[in-house]
Amino acid sequence: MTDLKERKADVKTSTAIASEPRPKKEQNVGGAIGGAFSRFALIIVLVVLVVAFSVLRPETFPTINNTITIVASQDVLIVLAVGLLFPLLAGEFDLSIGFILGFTAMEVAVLTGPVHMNVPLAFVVTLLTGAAIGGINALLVLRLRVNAFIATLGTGTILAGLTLLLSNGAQVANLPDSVNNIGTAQVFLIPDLAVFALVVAVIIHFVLGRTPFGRYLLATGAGREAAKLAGVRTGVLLAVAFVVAGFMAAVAGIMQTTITGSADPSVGSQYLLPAFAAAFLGATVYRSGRFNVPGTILALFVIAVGVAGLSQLGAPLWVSSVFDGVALILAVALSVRRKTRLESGN
Amino acid sequence: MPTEIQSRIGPAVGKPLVALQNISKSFGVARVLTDVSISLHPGRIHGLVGMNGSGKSTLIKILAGVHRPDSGGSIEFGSAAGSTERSGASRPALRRGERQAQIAFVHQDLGLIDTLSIADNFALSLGYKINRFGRIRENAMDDITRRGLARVGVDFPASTLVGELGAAERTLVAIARALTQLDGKSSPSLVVDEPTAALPRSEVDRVLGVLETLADDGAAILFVTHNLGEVMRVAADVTVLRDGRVITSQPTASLTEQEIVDKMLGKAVEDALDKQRPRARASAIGAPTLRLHSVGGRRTEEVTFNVAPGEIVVLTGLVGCGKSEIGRILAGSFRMRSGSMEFDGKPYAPRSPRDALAAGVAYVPAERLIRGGILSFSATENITLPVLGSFSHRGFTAPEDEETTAAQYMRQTKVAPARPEQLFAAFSGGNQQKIVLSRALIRRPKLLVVDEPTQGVDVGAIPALYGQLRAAADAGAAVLVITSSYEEAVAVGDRAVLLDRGRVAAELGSDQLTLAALISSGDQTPVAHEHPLSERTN
Repeated sequence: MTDLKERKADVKTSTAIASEPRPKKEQNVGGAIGGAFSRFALIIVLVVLVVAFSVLRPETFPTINNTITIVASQDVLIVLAVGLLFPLLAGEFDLSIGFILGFTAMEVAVLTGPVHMNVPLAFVVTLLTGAAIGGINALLVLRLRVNAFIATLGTGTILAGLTLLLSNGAQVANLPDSVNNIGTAQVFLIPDLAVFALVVAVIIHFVLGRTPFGRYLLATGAGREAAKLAGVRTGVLLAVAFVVAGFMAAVAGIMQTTITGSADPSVGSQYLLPAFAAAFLGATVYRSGRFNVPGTILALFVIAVGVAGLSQLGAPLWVSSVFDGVALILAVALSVRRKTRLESGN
Repeated sequence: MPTEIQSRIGPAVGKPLVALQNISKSFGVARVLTDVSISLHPGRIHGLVGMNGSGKSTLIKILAGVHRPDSGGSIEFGSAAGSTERSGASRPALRRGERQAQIAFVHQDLGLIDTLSIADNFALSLGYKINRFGRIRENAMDDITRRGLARVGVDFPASTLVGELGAAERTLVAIARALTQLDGKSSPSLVVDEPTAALPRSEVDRVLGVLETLADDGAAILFVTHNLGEVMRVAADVTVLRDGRVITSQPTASLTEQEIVDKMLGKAVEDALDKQRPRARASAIGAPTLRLHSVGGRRTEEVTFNVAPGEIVVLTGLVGCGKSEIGRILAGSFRMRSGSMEFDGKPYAPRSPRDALAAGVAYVPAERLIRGGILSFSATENITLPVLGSFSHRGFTAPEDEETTAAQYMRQTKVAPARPEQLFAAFSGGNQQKIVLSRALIRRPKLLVVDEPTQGVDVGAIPALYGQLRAAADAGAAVLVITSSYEEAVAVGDRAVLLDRGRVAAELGSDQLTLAALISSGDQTPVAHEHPLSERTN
């Protein structure tokens, strides 16, 4: 290690040689246009949607209130989706996150409501529950070698059942004010939790993009064999990824309960698909198809604006599901195409 | 048509079953085959030998109809009316189905699926027999399979899973399937590509014995192999290819093994290779960095050799000889099952690639795209992956420092263009290999293990890669190069260890390392010469 540091030092002295003129990134025009298009596609779609809905519904759509509603309504999803990025980056699916959200939302409601547990303690217990479920997922995938897709579908389904058990199949409401206040607090019309979600997203963005941990996680997903041979502890990283996803789902679950002031046993599954759709759509902003935080958030807003606009146009309830589904398929189709292109060497 | 069965010694007489005449083939400007003529006669095994790149596989693919030959030549399948194929015609004379009825192939990888039964594997190429309701007629399939297996002397129920069979039996099942495809023709034409390369020595005889029996029964067999001992033993005729030309095609009995070696190599080739080696080969200085004592794994047994600092030792042998396994054992991705290793004076038994890296062993795997580089990572990210920790300031990575260092290694290994930010997938094969090599070098290993350093690499990049290996050795590393190419062994190695079926067949010192020595050491198959089967030839 020491001699590496030394080498780095003498590398720095030779920066002059290193920074000789270098060709720009894109090598062929077609690729550049394709790359640029997919890089800005999400922003273009967002702008087009906003403009279109503003023209169609000038009274209700382009208003401050509506904007805040749309932005604020994404706080739970942002936290859930950036947590999902960990297993996705490590190359594995985690379908349990929606159900972890549902379960922990119920858990925190039951603990602070009927059980009258001290609120901070209830939060800690709930967060640990989420992390522990992630740990179980990791065990199933790494020790028992169950395919992650199946394993997390299994744990998720079990959790859906346990959520009903915990709640007796009914809503749990009448939570203490200290819980409800968290969900309703605002700074300049913007809910605290929306600010919190964005701060979490920024932190995770740096962890994933700028730390060795993030790079190792990325390597684990992008080329597990190669990463292992380069000395990356791929098993440990995968386990951490599942635990983080579970933990973040629990954070989202707590947020959900504080916002609505109650917990509904059916909540949760509705969050799963938008989170996946956003993560995959967000990956299209990079040429290499990397999952990433800014893209995911951008994609969440595209989906939210689309759904909000359509409902203002009077579209019935089922439209939002169809919209999410189409977005997910489109995103995955794009990423498959990119992968094929990568493997064919251009 | 009546077939005369001939003696397996002496010149072939009568009409061939398959006759290739003046076949040439170019890919773009590169001419791969020039005026190749070969005849396969019923009742005879015809050996096809040649070094890597001599055109053997192109020839087989032309026979199989995968490639169309250039115009001017012809392929004639003796027993079918109107089966002459004029090459260069707008369409092949034989459609796929018709060709399949004329000649069958057993490829080196056999094309069997382990998790299916023998009968199902037969059906993969023959199709299923069904009744009028669309249901598979299992009994009919079993009968077909049993009849096929009987021809090669395999006595397993048709329902046996292929995965449960031994190596020789798998080969025989593949041969039986190929024969069945020819629908029980009394004189089938069969091409077998390296049928013995992956077999344990004790099972080679069984496969060769079956080939001889099939020939005795009237088959015309093209036997493609690296192993001259086996050719001498079973082939009635031998054709030597070199640089896409037939150097000789004559009865085996009229040639000695040494003559065949000389014809495979050509004097010019060996001279040229000797010129590539301007230096005197380094002799080991100091105590070996790495010692293997009777190391064994899944495919290897009692492998013993040393590598010293400053020298390049080549571990070579045919595909399937177990050499890659030794590399994986050294890299910590496969656990040795017996024996011991010593590295840097200490016992060495890495349990993971991390252990190996920590000890000072760097490994470049053969499957560059799966195990070597990460396609969606930039060159920089690939190169710095093993040492990322040393680049971080206060927990964050330092992309500029990384890129500077990566650029330095890319210039050192002569990656052109040296664009550190470009995705790995966008580089050519040669550049990708240099990047993976850079990643191995960035840890300044005491032992560098490189499996197939020039596989899938453009010719122009090869000298630079060899240069890097030499530079690493000159800087004091012990270098172990694993390769299937004897030419590469001679071009890059100071010494060579030759593996045959998992065991060390020969160790060649610096003064003994020549192509001819490698080829003749490769087939010291002691059982071959005193085998009772050889008495049956008359």
